Formats: sequence, C-alpha cells, structure tokens
Amino acid sequence: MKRRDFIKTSALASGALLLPDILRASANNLLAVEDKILIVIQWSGGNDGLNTVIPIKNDLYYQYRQKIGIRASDALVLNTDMGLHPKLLALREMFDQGELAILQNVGYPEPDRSHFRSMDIWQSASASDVYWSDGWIGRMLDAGFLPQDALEIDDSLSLALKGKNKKGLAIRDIQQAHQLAAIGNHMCDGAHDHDNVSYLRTTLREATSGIDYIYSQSNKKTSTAAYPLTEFGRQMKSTSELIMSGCKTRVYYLTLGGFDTHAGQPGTQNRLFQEYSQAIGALKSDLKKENRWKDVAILTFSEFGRRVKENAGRGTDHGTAGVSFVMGGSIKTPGLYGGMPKLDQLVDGDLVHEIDFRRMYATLLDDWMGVSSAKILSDNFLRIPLFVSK
Amino acid sequence: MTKTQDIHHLYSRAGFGLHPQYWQNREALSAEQLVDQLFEDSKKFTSLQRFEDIRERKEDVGGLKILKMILKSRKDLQELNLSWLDHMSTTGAQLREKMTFFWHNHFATQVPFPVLMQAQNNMLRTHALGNFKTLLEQIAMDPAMIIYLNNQQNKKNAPNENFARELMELFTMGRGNYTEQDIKESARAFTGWHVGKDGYFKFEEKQHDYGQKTFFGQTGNWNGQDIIRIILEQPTTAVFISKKLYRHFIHPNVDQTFVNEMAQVFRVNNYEIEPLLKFIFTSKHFYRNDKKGSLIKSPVELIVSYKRLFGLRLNKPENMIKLQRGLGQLLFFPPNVAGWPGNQAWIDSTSLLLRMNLPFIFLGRDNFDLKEKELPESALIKNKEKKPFLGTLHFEPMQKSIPANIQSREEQYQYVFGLLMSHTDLVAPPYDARWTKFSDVVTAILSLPEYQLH
Repeated sequence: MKRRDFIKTSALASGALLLPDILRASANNLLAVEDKILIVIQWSGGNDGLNTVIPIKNDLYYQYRQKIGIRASDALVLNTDMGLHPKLLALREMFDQGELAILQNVGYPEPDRSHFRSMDIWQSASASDVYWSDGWIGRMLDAGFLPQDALEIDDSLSLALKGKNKKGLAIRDIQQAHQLAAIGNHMCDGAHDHDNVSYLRTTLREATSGIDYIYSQSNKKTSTAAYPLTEFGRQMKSTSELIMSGCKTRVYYLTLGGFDTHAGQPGTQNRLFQEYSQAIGALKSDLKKENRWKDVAILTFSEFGRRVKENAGRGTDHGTAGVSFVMGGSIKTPGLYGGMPKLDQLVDGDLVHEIDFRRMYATLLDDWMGVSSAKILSDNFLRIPLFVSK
Repeated sequence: MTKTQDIHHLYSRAGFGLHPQYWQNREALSAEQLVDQLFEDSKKFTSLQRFEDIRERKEDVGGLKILKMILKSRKDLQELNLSWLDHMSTTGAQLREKMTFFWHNHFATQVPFPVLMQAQNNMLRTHALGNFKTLLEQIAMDPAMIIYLNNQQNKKNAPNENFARELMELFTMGRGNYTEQDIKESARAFTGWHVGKDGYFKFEEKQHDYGQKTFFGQTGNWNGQDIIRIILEQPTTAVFISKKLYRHFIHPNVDQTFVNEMAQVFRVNNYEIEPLLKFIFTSKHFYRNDKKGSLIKSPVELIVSYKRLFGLRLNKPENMIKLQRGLGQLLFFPPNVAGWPGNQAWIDSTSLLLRMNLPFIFLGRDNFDLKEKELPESALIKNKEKKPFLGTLHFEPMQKSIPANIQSREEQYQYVFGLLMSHTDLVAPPYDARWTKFSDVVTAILSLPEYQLH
C-alpha cells in the first residue's frame, strides 16, 4: 500500500470512528437520514381499535357490538373485510395514495390494563414485568443527539423523551418557554465537586440553548392550513410550522387525550377522530407545499385497545391489543399488518397481540431515523418492512 | 455546639426544613440532642382526616357505590394530596412526616379509592419510625396494596405472584437475591390475603394454600408472616433498606462501608427504625462537607420548603396540583410500584427552568400558566378555563432573622445566600444594584440552579 493511500484509508477509518457508534456507518445515506423526522402522536386513554379499523365482514364483531358497532355502510371501506371509522377521512386518502400502514393487534405479552402502567411500558419500551425509568426516544438521544432533537409539545416532559444522560425538551408555548429560559444567565461561580452541581449547570446550558434554537426557528414560516381550534390542533400547527421553517428537530411528541370511553363512546370517538383527521390533513398539506412530506413519518398509538364486548353504557372497558398507524410520504410498503382481529380466539374477553409494539420502534429507529435500535431497545426486534420495497 | 450549617443540613434531610429564625436557639445543642429533639417532636402527631372512613359505617360498599367512588376518585385524591401537602408544611412531627413520605415512595401504591389511600397513608405514618417488620406485615395486609398488586386475585388454585414478587424485588431485597422458585412459594403463602366485602383485610381460609412450601431453604406450612420473618433473616434485606435510606438521606452514591454499618445497626436492633435513623443523623459521615447539598430536592420537598420558609400560598388549589405535575411528582400518584426514580431524574430542561422561575411565577409574573397533561379522562373533565398562577410569599420573617449589623442589601444578599445554600464552596453570583427590595435578593437566590440542591 502506498503511503498516500494508507493515510487516506486511516483518515476515513478514524472519521468513521468519530461518528456516534450508533449511527449507521453507511455514509451515503447518512446525509439524507439527517432530514428524516418522526412525529409521535399518543392517543391517551386507550383507543378502541375495533371501532377504528372495523372488521365489517365479521358477524362476531356485530354481536359483541350491538349498540356501538359501526355499520359497513357507514365505514370508509378499505377492502372487502375492513373499513375505517367514518371520521378518519384524511387517513383513507393516505391509504389510497399508499402512504398509510395500518398495524392491527399491536401490544405486548402479559398486558397491563392500567392506563399509567401500560403507558409507561409503551414509553419506556420495557417488557411488562420490569420497570425502566427512561424512555425509548430519550435513549435515542443518549446515542449522540442534542436535547432539541426531541421536542414534546407540552408543559412537562414524558418518560418517552427521558434518556439516561440526555433528555428532550418539552415546550408548549414557545414564547413562555423563551421567557423562562431568560433566567439562564444567572449562575453561581466556583468549582464544585458535587456531581449534581455540574449536572444542573449542564442541563441549564442545554435548556437555554435548546429553547433559543427552537425560538429562533419559530415564526419563520406560518401555516395557513385549517387546523382544528383545539389544544391538539395548536400542537400540530406548531409542529408543522417548525418543520416548514427547517427546524432540525428529529422527533416531535404530541398527545391527544380523552380516549377512555367507558360510556358514550360513539360521540367521543367521533369528535376525537374528526379533530385528529383534520389536523393530520392540514399538516400533510402544509408539508407537501414545502416538499417536506417525504421527510416525515407519523406514528400514532394508544396504550391499549379496549374490551371486545361493549358495556351497558354504550362504551367499552380497558382491553389489550389495539391499532397503530404509521403514515408519511416515504412509506414504501403501505397496507395492512398484523392480520384481522381474531374475535373467535379471545383470552378473557380480550384480543391477543400479534405485533409487539417494540417492532414498530425498531423499524422507525433503524429504517427511518438511521439509528441502531438494538441498544436502545435492549434487544433485536424484528423490523416491519414499512420503509423498504417489497 | 453545632454549626448552623449542620442544623440546616439535618432539618432539610430529616425534615422539610427549619426557618432560620429558629436556628439560633439550637446552636447550643449537640447533634445527639438535636436528633433526640426531632424524635421527641415526632411523638405527637395527627393523621390525615380528609375523608370519613366509610368502612366504619359497616355498610355494603359493593357495586354502584364503588363505581361512584372510582369516578370521583381523581378529584378526591387531589384533595387528599393537598391536605397532605399542608400537613407536611405545618406539622411539628417533621421527621415522622419525612419518613411517611419515604415509605409512600418505597411502598408506592395507586388505587382509585381515596378512603383506602388515606388509610394506608395513616398506617405508614403510625409505623414510620417503628419496626420495619411490623411495617411489612401491615403493608401486606393493606387493602390498597392488596388491590394494587393483585393479591386479591392470589388464590390457592390460581396463584398471582405480583405482590410476592414486588415484596422481594422492591420492598426488601432487590433483584438477584432470590430465585423464581422463592417467588412462587411466597405467592402460595400469601394466597387468601384479601380485602373483604367490608373494605378491610380478610384472610380467606378457603383461598389459602395450606400445603408445604420451601422458601429460602426452609420448608413448612408457611403463611405470609413466615415469609416476612424469613425475608428478614436474610442479611441482604437490611443492606437493601440501608442503601435506599442512604441514597435518600445522605448521598446519591452509596458508601458501602457505611451502609454495612447501617445494616448491622438495623439487624442488631431487630429492624427498629429509630436506632438506625439516630445512627445516620448523629454520624460524622452524615455531616461531612461532601454530603451537604449533594441531593436534588424532590418537587414535593421543594414546594414544602417554600411553604415552610416563605408561607407559599397559591390562588387556586388546582394550581398546586398542576405545579406538582409540572415538576414531576404528584403525591398519591407514583409513576409505578417502583416509586419515583428520584435524584437526577427530577431534572430535565423543562422542569429545571420551571423550578428556577418559581419565585417569579408565584409572585404572578407574566400571566404564567401550566396545562395539565392530557389525561385518560380529560374528555370527562371539561375545564379549559385558564387559571394563571398567582401566589403569595412572605419574606419578613427571614428579614427579621438577619443580625442587625448586616444592613446593606448587598450584605443581606451574601448573608441569605449562606443561609439558603446548605452546600459549601459556592460563590454567589455578583450582586445586582437593581435589587432594591429584600424580596429581590431572596428571589435571586431562590432562582439559582444550586437552590435545587439540599
């Protein structure tokens, strides 16, 4: 080997070593990957999957859901066996355009029916018999990102965005956050050997620079699309405007609450799905205009599905496996995953999961964000081929 | 003679803080005398009485009544939360209250039955400084715990291991110190430890497995009490509890030698909690410089210290709930059975900025508001009215406690900085001439990142 070649190779090698180990080394997709954005929408309260994606040909469904079952003629028919909830208009459009993956029977072994515990399991990506105090997106940050790379549009930070060393930002009102961050130049002096003193000072520096960054990116572009005039609508609008402005944040985390439909489910679900669908539609039209829709994947999930049999109050109680959606402008293999709900094979009146939710995370981390999932999820979960051509 | 910084340190850790106006008359006391005083002050105490214990009416509490209870439980638990917060801020029995708070986190429970949560809280308070074995027996018979960890479903023919597992993993020994077989055998011993129709503990004989069990190599017809006895025979249990106390009361990083000494004290004294705490709080180790200011105040400790030192009051009770949630710790709502992870987990960018801005928020700056996280039932709670924070803080008592020769604002600033920071080696940021009022210099100190430590 000539000396020059040797220098070249070793320089390349050391350059590769400088990359965070977890970023995939294939340099040619590295640049593209940096533009990829993930939006996570959490449906809080436990959404009823069976009335979201309706098994319109299944008699058992209509037997279990005599009062609240959605008729085939009302559903947005996707194929001979299933239809979407009538309010999910934007999703049907995406389905037709090959931009939507519907994942049914998503859950985890030994399901927990408590909202809080099950949400913890989803956010930490743990098994249901262990307690992790950090979240999957936070652990992604640990692999070499900045706090502002993961932004929750809220007043407090969810477990999902808390890593072991790094934590994301939570901002609901950018003006208010900017005002709070102004305090950051106020600091004690002096060396100090307490770990916690330096931890606080570092966190403060990261907070002020992160918020300053987000603030500098806000209001550069304004959306004119019609978002619902609700808290969630505002969250989606902020997200859209930041992406339109070229903000480098990689993950946005949003919550739409109210899915705990023990009573009067049809009215509540109608209202929530209308709000959700309208916001999704507005965000898509915003991002298409800026040619950024191709860079966005949206994951929607809920902490559990609901009981198959309706209750006496036109509602449903806490259940197990549910429906998740992954959508965006770069879905390569859209369609249906996880099969139809097996209403004839219930366990204690509940559905059995077919897709472990951590497989979705692994897919989004590896194939979309370009971050190796094995360490983040402490296991190798089989990926779902959403972003690779069949 | 005890240094003022030591007094501050002791009261901040073993209690919820002592106003500087009371420091002087304690300087003559030794550490032993101060700690004796803390125990003396904790002898007399009152329990939480927010709700009538409807179980005492001896009525059937089944069916519809339970449903109604559950539906308004969040609101009721928030009221219970507020009354406990007030209790922490006013009680003279500070050490007992601090330990009740410790056990609330250690035996983390969350069920939608406010009466049962109140009863558990009062049980923890009663035994907070008593005997750890009694405490374990009480928690194993505690209706809220039985419901929370599914011991209600633990039956002879279908054992449920949830409580048995957490009893060893989280309450006494920690992972790696027992086998899966030990869990199975322990679960069998706790079969039939249920809640009766009257809402109290009931031993359901028919559901109890009277067969032979082998637990930690000992074979017999063991019941739950036997399991607790055998757990406490294992040396690792005293070490596990000592470590947890160390992290909560001394330093986030455990000193193994000192922990071993603590465990020895605990076992020699038959798991009495008082001698162990006395050992900690009178030790030289506890008062070492590197221990002072090494812990991050939990949100509840921070709020209670505001109440104790500055008489914090907020305009709306629900803002006190929002505040706890925003800071990451809501009493009676632990994240899971493992409790709050604590220390650095309290701090992220958002919560740190919120903490640092608190004095200004309390004083009503800028129409500040916090949104409640979207909750499962937020569709049911239609309360979107904006309720900006507004509160009151009283600085006069602190101002009065300053020696008369310290007159200028700048001197006062340096003096109060010394009062409020329990850790040494810190130099206050430069005095700002715009701080014309006494309240300005105090709020400047309260808004430092370092004030989050104690």
